[in-house]
Formats: sequence, C-alpha cells, structure tokens
Amino acid sequence: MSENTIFSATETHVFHKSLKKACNNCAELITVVMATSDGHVVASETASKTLDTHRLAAMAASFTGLSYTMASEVNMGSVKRASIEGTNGLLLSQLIEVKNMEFAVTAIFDKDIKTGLAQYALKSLVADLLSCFN
Amino acid sequence: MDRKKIIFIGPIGAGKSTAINAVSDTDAVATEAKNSDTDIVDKATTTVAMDYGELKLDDNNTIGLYGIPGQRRFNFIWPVVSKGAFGCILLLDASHENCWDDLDYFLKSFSKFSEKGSLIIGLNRAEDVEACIKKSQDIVQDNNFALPVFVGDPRDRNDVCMLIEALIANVETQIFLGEFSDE
Repeated sequence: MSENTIFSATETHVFHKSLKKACNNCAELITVVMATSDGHVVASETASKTLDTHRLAAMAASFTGLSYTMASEVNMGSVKRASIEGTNGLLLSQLIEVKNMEFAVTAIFDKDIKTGLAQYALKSLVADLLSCFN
Repeated sequence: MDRKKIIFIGPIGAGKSTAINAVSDTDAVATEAKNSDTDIVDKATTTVAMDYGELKLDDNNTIGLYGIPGQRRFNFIWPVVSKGAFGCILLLDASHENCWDDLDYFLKSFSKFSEKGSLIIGLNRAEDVEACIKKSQDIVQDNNFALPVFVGDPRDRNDVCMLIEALIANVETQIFLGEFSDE
C-alpha cells in the first residue's frame, strides 16, 4: 500500500476536508483522490465501499502522466485536464503543481453529471486545494 | 518492415529509462513525474506510465523498446505495457539492499517470460561481479528457470545493445529447441 509520507496527519486532514466539501457540493461526485504525481495517496473521499483508492492513485498518476505526455507529443499546448467518458460516468484528472510538488487530482462522477458541471466541480476543488498551501 | 517489441523491467532506479535512452534511435518518450520515494532511490523523477524508444536494425527492421514503471504499486500497467512483447530485460541495481528480493519478485511477476526463457538479467553497479552473478543464478535456479545473467552499465549503448542481442539470441535458441523437441 502506498501511503503518503510527505504531509503530516494534520495537513492531510485539511486536504481531506476540501475533498469532502467538494463531494457535498456536487451530488454526482462519487470519488475524489488527491495523489502525488508518482502515485501515492495524499487524501481521498469515496462513496464506494469496494474501491481501492491506493490503486486508483497509482492509476491516476499513470493516466495523467501518459495523457500529458501525449498532449505534448501532439502539440496540444497547456493541458487543463484529462478525461474518460464511460456509460456509467465521467472521470476527470488534473495535474497541479504547487511549491515544487506535483499532484494528480482525480474526480469520478456518476452518469447523471453534465460535463460542464463536472469541470466546474474539479476546478473549484483544485482552487480549494491550492489555497490549502497558502 | 517487421516490428518487434521488448520490455525493460525492474525496480525503481535500476536504469530502465536510462537504458532506453542510451540505445533509442529516436527521441525516447518518457512519462516522468516527481519522485517522492527518495528514501528508496535518490533521484528527482520517476516513470509513471511507460518509456518508449526505437532501435533500428541493419535489416530495416525496428525494435520497440518499452519501459515499465518499477514501483510495485504500478503493477496494474505491467501487463498493458508487456502485451505483445517477445522478451524482456530485467535490470537491477546490484548495490541496492533490495536487489535480490527484487530479482525474485520480478522473475515471478513476469513468469510468462521467465518460464519460456525469453527474459535475461542485467546487473548494474555490481562491485563483486562473480558473487553477484552467482547470487543471481542461485535465485534463478531456485525458481526453476534457466536464464542468462549479464553485468553492464545502462548508460552505455554497447552494453545495452549487448543485452538486446543476448535476449534475441536466447529467444531464438528457445524457439529452435522448442521446434526440435516437437519433432
């Protein structure tokens, strides 16, 4: 299991509060994971009882890493986020850089979400997480 | 034109990305992220999805060189990256305290290749070469495999090419022996 060793329990609690707030503000947001860009969980919040958030964190790191590399390969410019649309929902993942650290923030929404709302929810969450570092 | 695929496997810091960069005839593609496991390996970045490079052969064929992320938490992507590969090169840092556990772990994790002899082992930073090769062979034999072990520097193009040639030769030998035993 990949535990976060970068932040103290108190700091992790602050991130977790942000993730919980995001879930409370958006009923369709079912899972959110903040991970280091190399795949360790920093904080997570999920309504699922079976989801392994540590595994998801590692996958999020691979997914964002590959997506951002692909974007660079085809000259897509600055990347806002990477997404997966499935019949059962929508996954958005975004890399954030703050204080010389990188994190992959991944949000999973159920199928009733509108793409614009999902993007807004992730954008708000990222802004909230970044404010935690100030 | 024929395209073959080999994969570089092994733990973080073994030299997989370095080896691919050393031999690739094209700009190698990397998916690097900041490394937060600095207590295990002191390096700034680490592969999180895959590395990719290409080696062009004299006969106009190309070998695709793929590297996996070495941390065990990324094991979900290993079958994805290794799909369609005809063999793999297991790189290890012989100076690292977990080297022998890692050897055993990767032999088992990539048993699809170990079992049929399409895996070779490359030891990096081996000080006592003889002892390191002996230890490696003991672990290989304990797993009931027969696999060659080499010592080399992943930064050195010649060393990495030697590993690739050895892998190809070993795979061809296994195919030949397989055909011979079928007759």
